[in-house]
Amino acid sequence: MVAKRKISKGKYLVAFVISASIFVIGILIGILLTNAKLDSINEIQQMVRTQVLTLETQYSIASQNPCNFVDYPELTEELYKISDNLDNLESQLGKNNKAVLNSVEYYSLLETKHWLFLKDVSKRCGKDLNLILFFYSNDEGKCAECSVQGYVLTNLRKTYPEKNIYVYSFNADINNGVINTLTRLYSVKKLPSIVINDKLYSGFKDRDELEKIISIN
Amino acid sequence: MVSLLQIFVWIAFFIGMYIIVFWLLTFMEHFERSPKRLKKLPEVSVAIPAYNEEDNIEKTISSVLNLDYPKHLLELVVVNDGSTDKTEHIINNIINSNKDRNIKLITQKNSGKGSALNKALEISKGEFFVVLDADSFANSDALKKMLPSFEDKDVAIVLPLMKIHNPRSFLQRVQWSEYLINFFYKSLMGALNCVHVAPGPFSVYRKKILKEAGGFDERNLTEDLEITLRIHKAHYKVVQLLNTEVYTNAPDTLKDFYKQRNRWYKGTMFNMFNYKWMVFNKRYGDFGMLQMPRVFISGFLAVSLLLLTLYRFVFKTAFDHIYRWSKINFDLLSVIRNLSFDFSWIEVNFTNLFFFVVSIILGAIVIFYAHRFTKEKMLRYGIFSLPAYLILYSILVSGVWLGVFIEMLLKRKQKW
Repeated sequence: MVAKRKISKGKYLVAFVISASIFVIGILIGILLTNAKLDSINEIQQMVRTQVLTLETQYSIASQNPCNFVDYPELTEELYKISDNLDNLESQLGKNNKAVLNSVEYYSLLETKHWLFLKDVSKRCGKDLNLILFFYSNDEGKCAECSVQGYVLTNLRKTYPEKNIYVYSFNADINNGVINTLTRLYSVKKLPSIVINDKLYSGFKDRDELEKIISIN
Repeated sequence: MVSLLQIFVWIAFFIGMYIIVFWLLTFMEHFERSPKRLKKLPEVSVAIPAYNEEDNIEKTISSVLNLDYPKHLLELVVVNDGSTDKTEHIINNIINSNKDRNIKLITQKNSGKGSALNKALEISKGEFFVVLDADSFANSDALKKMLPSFEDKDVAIVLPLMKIHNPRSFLQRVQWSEYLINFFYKSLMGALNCVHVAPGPFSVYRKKILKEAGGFDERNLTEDLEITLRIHKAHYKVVQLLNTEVYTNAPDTLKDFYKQRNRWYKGTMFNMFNYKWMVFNKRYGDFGMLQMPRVFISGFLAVSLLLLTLYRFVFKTAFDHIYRWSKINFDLLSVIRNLSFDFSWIEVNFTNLFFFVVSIILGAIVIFYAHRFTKEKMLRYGIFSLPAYLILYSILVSGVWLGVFIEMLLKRKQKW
């Protein structure tokens, strides 16, 4: 009858080696560039730190008439950018990744410093600022509404620039000293939770409710 | 961390890349194939099954009469499969005006293509048996280019390059690109005897083997696929050529396209289940180890990728956005005003980007050689037809597969 069929064993192997190599290269590129991303975030953090320090120093130097010297809005945009980037990295590397933990910890410190600084400015200079602390988790199972809450807060902040709204977000999933102190201070029990001008609001708040709280008509 | 969707996409990418790399390696090995020579011209029978083909039958028959082949060695058997239009009348006219040609007409009650072909097979005298769908036309050099491949005694079926006849509508041009790439791919499969279907337009069979196998399955949705599998079962060879062309009409409305593909894919599914024992069966060489598994999973892979994409990027995104907007009282003006396009490279997933680029490069290589070996220009139908093919084709095909699966599920329920 007919000649026996062949199985191109060698070719299956070569094809496997080639495609497996391409696959591994892809994964390696991902890992390498994720590390580069971390470096770049750390650079931004460094920059923000310098800016916060500059502000504090300006503030101290001009002790005679400090309120005229303080110029802050641009700074906070950088702060928001770091927050987005860190959430992104957390989804890529996991919340237990050491580098992510370090970055988030450092970021929380910066945020807290910035928040304390503005709180002081608003008290001393009589500035009408709305300072919001937002505690969230990126884990959908733990807090399904957290990402929506973040969206609503960003929308609120951008829609009413005249209201001087500042949102400081804290990833409550991540165990660190600053975040723990803040959650204890305001007795945050559930997520999402929002602290607006030192008062705690537990659970999800839509834009209407938030507008009422900071009295926007 | 890494989501299930991500893992699934990676697995699909890996399987796809593995198959393409394998065939590109085959391509490099079998780059040059020396054409064989015919010692002596054999007798050939061409069978045309026709059901309500008054628009095409004349052109199809004349493409056979115009074949560059000695008249006394060429027999034409037209089977009128119970047409209710003027098909029979037209055939009789042609017979009367070509008295010097060997044309036979069989008329039967409408009983399907498989049955029509078997009738023709019974009365045909040729050593080779050609199936020609009534909506297709062969090049005049077809037989002379195809018959030499039968010098290898194990070859049972030889197939020509199939192109879409005069593609005018957008949908037809998408299919034009599909056919070029598909037949280039089939010619590579042929190098390892892995062609799994001999389509209707001008497939040449060695009659002895076809009869040995038992002729065509009259109750099969895709009898062309079934006979090919049966011939593989007997370990014969199926060869795909690119050096001669046959032109076929392609559906130009979505509805007709869906109808045609629905039949093909349903037939594929049905026959794959009947021949599932060939999947990963070492006795069938590369055909069993690579081709059967590939055909077997392609439908499932297409549907699951379509459903995942629809869910993740259409339904879920739409739902999420509407939900978000509901929480800001649908103040869409603020959304538009606050829209920011600052792009951060930190958000890019470089692994996926790399895989995407690799896919594009592999695809480009395949498309380039497919055009070169089918002697077509890539820009023949404008710069948009190829990108449209790339984007639309997978959606169209997965859509049809989805329809097939839904039908199969519903039918099952009816049985219970």
